[in-house]
Amino acid sequence: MIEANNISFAYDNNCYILREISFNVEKGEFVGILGPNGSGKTTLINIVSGILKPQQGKVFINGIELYSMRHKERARCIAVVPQESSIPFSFSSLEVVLMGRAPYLPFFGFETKEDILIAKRAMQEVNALQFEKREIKELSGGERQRVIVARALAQKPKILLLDEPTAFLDIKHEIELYRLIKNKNREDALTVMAAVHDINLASAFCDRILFLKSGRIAAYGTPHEVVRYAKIREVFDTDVYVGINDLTGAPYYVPYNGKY
Amino acid sequence: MSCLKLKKWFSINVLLLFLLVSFILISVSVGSERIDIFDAIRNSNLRDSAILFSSRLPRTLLAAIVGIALASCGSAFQALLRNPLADPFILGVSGGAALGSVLAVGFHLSFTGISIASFFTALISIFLIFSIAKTKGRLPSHTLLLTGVIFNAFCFALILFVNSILTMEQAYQIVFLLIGNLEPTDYTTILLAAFFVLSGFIILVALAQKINILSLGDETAGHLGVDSNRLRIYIFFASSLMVGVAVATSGLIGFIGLFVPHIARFIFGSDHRFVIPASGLIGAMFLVASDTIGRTFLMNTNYQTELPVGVITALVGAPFFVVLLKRQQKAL
Repeated sequence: MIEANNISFAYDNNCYILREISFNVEKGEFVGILGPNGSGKTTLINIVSGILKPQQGKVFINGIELYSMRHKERARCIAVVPQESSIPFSFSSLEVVLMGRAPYLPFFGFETKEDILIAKRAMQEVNALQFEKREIKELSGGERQRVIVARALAQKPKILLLDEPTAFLDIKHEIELYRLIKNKNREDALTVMAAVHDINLASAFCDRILFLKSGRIAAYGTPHEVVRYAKIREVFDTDVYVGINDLTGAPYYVPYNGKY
Repeated sequence: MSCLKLKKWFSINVLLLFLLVSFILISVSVGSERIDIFDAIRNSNLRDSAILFSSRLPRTLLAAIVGIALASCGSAFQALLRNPLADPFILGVSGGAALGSVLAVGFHLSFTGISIASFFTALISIFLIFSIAKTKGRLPSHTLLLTGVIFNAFCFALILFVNSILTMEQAYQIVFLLIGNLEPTDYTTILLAAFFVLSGFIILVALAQKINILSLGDETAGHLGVDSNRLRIYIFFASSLMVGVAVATSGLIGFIGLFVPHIARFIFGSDHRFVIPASGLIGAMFLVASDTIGRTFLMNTNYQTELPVGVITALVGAPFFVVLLKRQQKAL
């Protein structure tokens, strides 16, 4: 579904953030992107979403080149949930989710009843329908992120990209969000690519994990294949204990407190 | 097309338009001289007709046109810069247009001459600002802002310089210009002004849905399918044209572009499909009312003079902002 071919990107033509990145994501896969700070996770998400153009290389969505798509076409296919969003005006939550229907509206269009239904259904899926009339500014971090996810879902995308969506959330909301996304991923065959900051989270939810280090792919495989002591040492430059979760069979890591 | 929301949109705007027309009618009936409006229309009283058609109506129509221009640009700009304190004069065109007016005063041109000269310099300013702010074919918000501020500063420096070498009488004229003043003018000027302002206004109203998305930030707008760069360029040209025409015909009337959008948002919410047209129409009503007050307020006192409309808008605008600030502080 997503094919990246030899992508290289620099923000100012000198310092390359990403070098020669090539990878494939199958339809319906849930891929996690992990790496140390500055490894290029957000940049990669922005390139796959089409708003940054790499100096080298191309991205193909279902065989079609990403940059040949028109803005609206792209927005109907790919939806993005950013880390944080500041909305300076007092829109209601429903208004914010309705903006997810923008790629489908005619030029000076008002939303149809269908659009409003889709928006409300998306809000229901993320358990945020109770906020529909409340202003987005009033909501807590967790509630806001759910509304933003609802907006992304209202776009009815084939691909959902997330950039550390739970960076500012507590574990309850974090796990809730990932469970929700995993559900959509399984039920609707929604292809998901998420920049994740927590290896354990990625291990629990992702089909495959992509490790980035210094702008290059350090590993790309299932959690079993890549969540290993040696790989984590290589990518994150730190020692951890890696074990297998008895309950789920997925690998997990525990920080090493330096006593031994 | 949603019937419900579209109907709501039409009813609101028809209502506002109706109110505006009422304001205009009331405004032309009121003034330092008493006239009978019906006699004037029927032409049965030549003196009243003259006052109505040559003096009050053109001035009031101009007030409405300038009000639409400044207020709707204000709302679009506040969305573009994602800052509710943005003002259409930030663009920089106003500085260039004002400079043109000042130079025209220096050359002893008539009112129409001043407007034409000012419009001309406004167009030059638009071109200059666009060329300076353009970075790799894009028009980033911060560059636009910076260019506008610098351009304004430079123009005002020149204005002060020119002012210092003119006569007292011309300097006095310039004060009126800088504070914002409406004068009765010929219908050709009004028609031209209306043409430019309404074109720009229609463009902004048509782009309102996309402007909603733009206010979420460039990245998010891109993710939702909106080309923020092209949109900014359209908004820049439409707004600059409107502001240029407004300043060319009436000088620098402040505060309208700043606080009318807040009123519109307060009544109608933040959806710019409603806010932009509402701002325009409310701005028009506001300016018509302000000018009417300015014309009549001091007339029956010992001063026997008119207050320029810019004074009224400033006197109303400043306390308004204090109220707004207090409300925000309470909310925190």
